[in-house]
Amino acid sequence: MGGFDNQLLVTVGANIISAALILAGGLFVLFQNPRRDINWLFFFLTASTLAYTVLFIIASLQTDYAAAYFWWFLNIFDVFIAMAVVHFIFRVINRERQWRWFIIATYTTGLGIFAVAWLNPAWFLPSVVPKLYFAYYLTAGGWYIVMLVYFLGTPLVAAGNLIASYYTSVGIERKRLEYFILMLAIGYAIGCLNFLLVFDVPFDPVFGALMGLYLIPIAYGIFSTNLLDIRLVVRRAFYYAISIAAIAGFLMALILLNGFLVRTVPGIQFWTVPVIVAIAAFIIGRAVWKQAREAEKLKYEFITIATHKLRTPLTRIRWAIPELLAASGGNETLHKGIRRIDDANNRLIELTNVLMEASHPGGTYDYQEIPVDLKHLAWEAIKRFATQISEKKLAISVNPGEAPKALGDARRLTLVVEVLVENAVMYTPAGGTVKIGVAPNRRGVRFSVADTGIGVKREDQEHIFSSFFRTTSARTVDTEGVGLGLSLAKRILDRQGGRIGVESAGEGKGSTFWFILPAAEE
Amino acid sequence: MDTPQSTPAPRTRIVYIEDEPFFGGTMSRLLSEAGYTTMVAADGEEGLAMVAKEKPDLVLLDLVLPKVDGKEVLKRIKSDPATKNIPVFVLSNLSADADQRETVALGAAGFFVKAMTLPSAIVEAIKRELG
Repeated sequence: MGGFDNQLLVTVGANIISAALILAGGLFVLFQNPRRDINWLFFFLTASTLAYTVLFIIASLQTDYAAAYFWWFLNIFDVFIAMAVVHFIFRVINRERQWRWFIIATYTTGLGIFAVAWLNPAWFLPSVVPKLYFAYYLTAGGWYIVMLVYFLGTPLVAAGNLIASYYTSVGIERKRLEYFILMLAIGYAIGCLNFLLVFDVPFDPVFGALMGLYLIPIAYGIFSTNLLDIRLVVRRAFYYAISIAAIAGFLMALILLNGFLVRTVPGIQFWTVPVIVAIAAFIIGRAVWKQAREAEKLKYEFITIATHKLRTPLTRIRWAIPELLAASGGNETLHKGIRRIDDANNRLIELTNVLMEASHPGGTYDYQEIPVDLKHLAWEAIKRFATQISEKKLAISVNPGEAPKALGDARRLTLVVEVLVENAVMYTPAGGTVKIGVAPNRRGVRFSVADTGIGVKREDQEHIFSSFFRTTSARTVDTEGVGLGLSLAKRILDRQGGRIGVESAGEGKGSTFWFILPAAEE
Repeated sequence: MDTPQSTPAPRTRIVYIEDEPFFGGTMSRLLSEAGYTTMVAADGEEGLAMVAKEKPDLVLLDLVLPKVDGKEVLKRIKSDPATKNIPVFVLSNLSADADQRETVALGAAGFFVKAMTLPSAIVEAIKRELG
């Protein structure tokens, strides 16, 4: 690496680490759930910033004028970052549809700027010249400024919307947006540091390499899953990023050290140090892996113990109820009171089930695949909530006729059906109607619960299956809920190859929650 | 089941191994109303001794127990030729599938999560099991 300035090598090294961090973050998020388009959008965002970083690294190492010009010219790839940021933000705040025109305009303008620059490279980059420790660095042509205005301006519109959404959101959603804002602020503020030198402000672009840090807050935000998981997943994402960065740094140090040792210590082969390091890495890796597994197990065990402890007194109450009811004789007040205690207690028991189920997000337990009669589960659920149904005078029905059985885990599906029926009962005003349907569908069996309740706003429909998410109207109707039921239902269905969804014409217009499972072979 | 079905039946006997007196009390009251005799053991060790001595018609078994753990009790009942044919119902508040599978694999005839089952339903299941 002879002729390079040390400062340049530091900047390049820092950018390599940043690139590794961005790559790791992007892939990590993508593979968390490659079926969600938001994860692809995030990947687009990381890919564009990665391209920028990699091109920056290559360009700064060029000592030949023509090569340097070519690579620095590729700075025009910045336009893709703006496109990704704009699209991503509108997707995050669920305003994609309303701002469709703006997203399309951003894409077309960006591509236009890109095309013009390729047709007239000198408009964009008149020349490259030596700056600070760089053999060559960018100078700004008129078109470079156009690109910069676009690069800074379009995301500003999206960011304005993001901040507005932030102020109107609540709870976990607000927290999520907080992380997005933080990510954009970090990414943009740091990323822009590289521009200063373009305009001859003698600011060392080494700090621009810190751009990869934008991934840390984002990892928090994107996982709108369970809060327990969020913490776990973020920690993992953070560890991944840090370890990959550390590995990159370590490999560089190793190469230098190896070269030095081979030259100075007689008898050392070029492979000696790498072999020793590989063995050490294997041992450390194994220990870390075991530690991580242990931690996961402990978390599960802790929740199991806590649930068990909670269940013992709850069971005492439940077991005492039938005798109390029998003893209450004809005393109507007493009878009603005991029924209420029973309902409240059953709700708590239900919560322990949810906790148990939520504590092991998959992998730990097998799901059974047996034919399940969803109609039977529906009737069981109706029986469970009979008190509330009669108190609210709800007209509840299950469609008549034969329905195919679904293939799944009976115990978990009981929970799913209960969640859907309970929600319908809870969020439908007195005198309303709840219609449960089980019908064949081209993907299998479709179970649906249609009510005349509070409904779900269009923008909430996507988030309603996220943990701890509760719509504003749900909060007003029922203050006790925690916002776990639907997310759990979704998780259970995901695990069984099922799908869950909601249809609602809007707030106050009722809603239909449905899920589809494969049908059991008859 | 190869339980003796002798006609002037000495009352059918059940051993309930449970450290929570409330559960033991409730179940034995309900079972005696249904015509069964119930003996309650407060820990695994006592339970094993009681099962060996009394040779009951059915065993109800909690999993979280002092001295000898419920799964171990089940293992020993099922490995002793003198007791291995006695049906065992596990009554637990652990509801993880792993526990359920494990106890069924060990030879349990039924698994009930206490918080999710009323005692009357357990009595019904016992009636069905004992015919």
